[in-house]
Amino acid sequence: MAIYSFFIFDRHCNCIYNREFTHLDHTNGTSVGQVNRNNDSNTSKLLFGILYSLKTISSKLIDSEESESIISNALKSFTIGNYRIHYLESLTRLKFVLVSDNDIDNLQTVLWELYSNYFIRNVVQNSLSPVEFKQSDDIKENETSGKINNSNFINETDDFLQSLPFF
Amino acid sequence: MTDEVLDKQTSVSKSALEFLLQELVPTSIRVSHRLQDSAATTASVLADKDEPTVVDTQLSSIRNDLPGTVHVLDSALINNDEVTLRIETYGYNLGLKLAEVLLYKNNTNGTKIVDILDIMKFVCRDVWKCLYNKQMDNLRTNHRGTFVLVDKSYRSIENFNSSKGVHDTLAKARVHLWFPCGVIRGILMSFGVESYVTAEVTQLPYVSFNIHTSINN
Repeated sequence: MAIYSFFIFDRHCNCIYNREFTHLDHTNGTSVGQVNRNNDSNTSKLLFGILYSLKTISSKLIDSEESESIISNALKSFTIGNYRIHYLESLTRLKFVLVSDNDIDNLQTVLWELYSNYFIRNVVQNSLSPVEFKQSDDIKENETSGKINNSNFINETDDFLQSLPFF
Repeated sequence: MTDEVLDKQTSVSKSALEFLLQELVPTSIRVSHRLQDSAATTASVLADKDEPTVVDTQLSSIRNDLPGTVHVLDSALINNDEVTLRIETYGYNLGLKLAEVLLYKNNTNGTKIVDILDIMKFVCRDVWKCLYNKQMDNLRTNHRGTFVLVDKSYRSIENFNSSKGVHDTLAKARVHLWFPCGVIRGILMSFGVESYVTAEVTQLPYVSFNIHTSINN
C-alpha cells in the first residue's frame, strides 16, 4: 500500500500545494520526493479537471433534498487504473486530494486531519502565510508566492502522512 | 445593582482575537505608507474611496497588497520607528486601561500591591491571564530595576512560519512583539512606574520581555 501524492487546490482552481512521494528506500523508512514542483503541470490540471467534472455530475445524481454539505462532498474517491484518488472539499471550496494505490479504501479521515489540523494551524493561523493565493500576472515571476511554502506545513504534513501505516 | 465589569464578560473566541491583533502590524505599515504618499504628492493618489473592499482591492500603495496576502510585511517600512511606535502605542493605551479594570476587580479580592515586585507579579499573573489565558513562565530580577519576564509559548506568534525561512520569521515576529511591550509599559505607567520594555525572541514561541525601570528594589 502506498500514498503517491498530495494536492491542494484553492477556489480559483490553482494548485497551491503539491507533494509527490517517491517510494525508493523502504528499508529505513525515509522517502524522497518533490514539493511544489508540478503545480502547473498537465497532470495537476487534468486531475483538477476530472475532479471538478465528477463532482458536478455526482452532485446532480444525488437527491437534491440532501443538505448542502453532503452534496459538496458527494465525491469521495474513484479509481483510475492503478491509482485511487481520494477527495475532500471544504465549504470554502478548498480541495484536498490524495493519490494512492488501489489497496487503500478510505482516506477521508486523513484528508480531514490535513485540513482541520495542519492547514488551519500552519496556514490560516500563521499570519506570515497568505490565505488568498490568487496571483496577479505581474508577480508570476516570483515562484514562492501563490503556493503554500512554509516549512512547518511541509514538514508536519510529511511527518503525518509518513507515520500512517499504509504510507 | 450594576454588574461587576469583569463579571459581565462571557467569552471571546481565541482565534478571532488573535486574527484581530495580527492585523495591527499590516495596518500600521499601511498607515505609514498612506502618510508618505500624501506627503509626496499634493493630490493624494489613493483618494478616499467609498467602495467596500473586495478581493482585488489594493489596500495600499505597496505592490500587490491585496486582502489575504502578506506582501505588506515585505515593505521596507516594517522596522520603521513610526510603524513600531504606532504598534507600541496601541499596547500602551490598552495597558493603561486594563490595569484600572483589573485592579478594581482585584481590590475586592484583597490582593495588596505595594512594591515593584508586586507590580511585576501582577503583570505575570493577572494581566497575562486576562490577555492570553496563561501566566508568565518565569520572572527574574537583578534587584536594580531590571526585570525579565519569560513566556515560553507566547500565543500570538506561536504559529508564525514564513516561507522565507527562520530568519525572516523571527524578524517579522519581532515587530508583532511591540504590542505586548506596550501593554506592559502601559500597566507599569498606571502604577506611576516609568519603564522601557523590549522583547527578545530567538526561537519561537519562546519570548522574553526585558523591562528597565529606574526603581531599585
